[in-house]
Amino acid sequence: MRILLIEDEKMLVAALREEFQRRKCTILTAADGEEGWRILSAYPVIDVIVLDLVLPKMDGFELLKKIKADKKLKIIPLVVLTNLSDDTTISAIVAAGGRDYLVKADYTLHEVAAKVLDIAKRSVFQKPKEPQSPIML
Amino acid sequence: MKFDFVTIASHQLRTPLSAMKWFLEMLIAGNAGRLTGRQREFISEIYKSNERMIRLVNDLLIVSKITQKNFHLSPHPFIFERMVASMVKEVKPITQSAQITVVSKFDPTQHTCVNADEDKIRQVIRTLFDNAVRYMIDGGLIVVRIERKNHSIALEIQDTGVGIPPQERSKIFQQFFRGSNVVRMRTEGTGLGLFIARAIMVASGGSLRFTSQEGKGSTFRMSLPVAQPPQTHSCEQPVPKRR
Repeated sequence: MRILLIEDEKMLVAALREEFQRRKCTILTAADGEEGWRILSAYPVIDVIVLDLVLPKMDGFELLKKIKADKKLKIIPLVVLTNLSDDTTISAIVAAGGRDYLVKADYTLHEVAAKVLDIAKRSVFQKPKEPQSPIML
Repeated sequence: MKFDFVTIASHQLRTPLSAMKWFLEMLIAGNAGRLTGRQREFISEIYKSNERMIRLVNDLLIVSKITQKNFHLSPHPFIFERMVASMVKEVKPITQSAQITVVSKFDPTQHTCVNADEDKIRQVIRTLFDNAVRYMIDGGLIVVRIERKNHSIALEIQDTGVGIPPQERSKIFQQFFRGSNVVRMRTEGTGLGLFIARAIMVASGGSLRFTSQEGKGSTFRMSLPVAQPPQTHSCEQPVPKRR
């Protein structure tokens, strides 16, 4: 299972990396929206994208819109993982094409990982034939 | 995207709290090595405090929206009895550990469709259960009833707890109010739960009322309007929202 985690908080990245690696997942990380977009453009065979919203350079809303406007990328399951939970944010996620979101503080690490992997099962790239990319950030 | 001050402040507070929560969880799970019983006990206490802080931030965010009259709900049709039954199941571990018996006096197979914000209604019910459990000494009984009328449905949660002194009954829906018997019991709490619960019920077109006898217990009754067609047709539609 290949997960792209786009998150700028180092502590949260460290915790999520450890949990997903413990579950035998390959995890790619990006610390801002632009880096996330670069990785997706170069390496679109991702099983699930985990996207924070408050990000430097390009924020999560903008990246979400770009992903949903891209024919290849829009079919990748995507979970918005944020600590914003107000109505404006939820409406903006839905307007940008997001379907699933989790509020970080409301879930344990175990629950977050389980829900993300559950969503990833929808991936159309479930049985990839192509070799693993060497990109590991 | 532009956010108001409270939204950004709550985000900034929740982020380090999330990091603490997740790292403490890993410590408790033994990811960093086996803990002694005492270490586990201490870390579990820190975890509980962190959870309390997260709840407080969440509550303050809602209170701020209520007081600024910027509190919005996301209603959708759902089956009320089914939701209540799942809530009763959810609180079972807590009531069992507190030696409290929960008796459900309603038919969970009845289908009453209501059009309300399910997450928020669950929050109200959780608050009522939390309070019932918190203010009971040495176990007790919680009775859950549902009463359907023509255009409304009501849920009653009756407990055998300490009850509310008569002179404090007019204040219990005020923000930050905590009853004198409650303070004596040294229970956790912020005094925001019932304030938020009533605001949610009023914003949902319903109500939240109570009766109480000091030393014998309290009964909280929340009621909601029943959904009318065409909302009832979509009662089973999934909501593409928060997971």
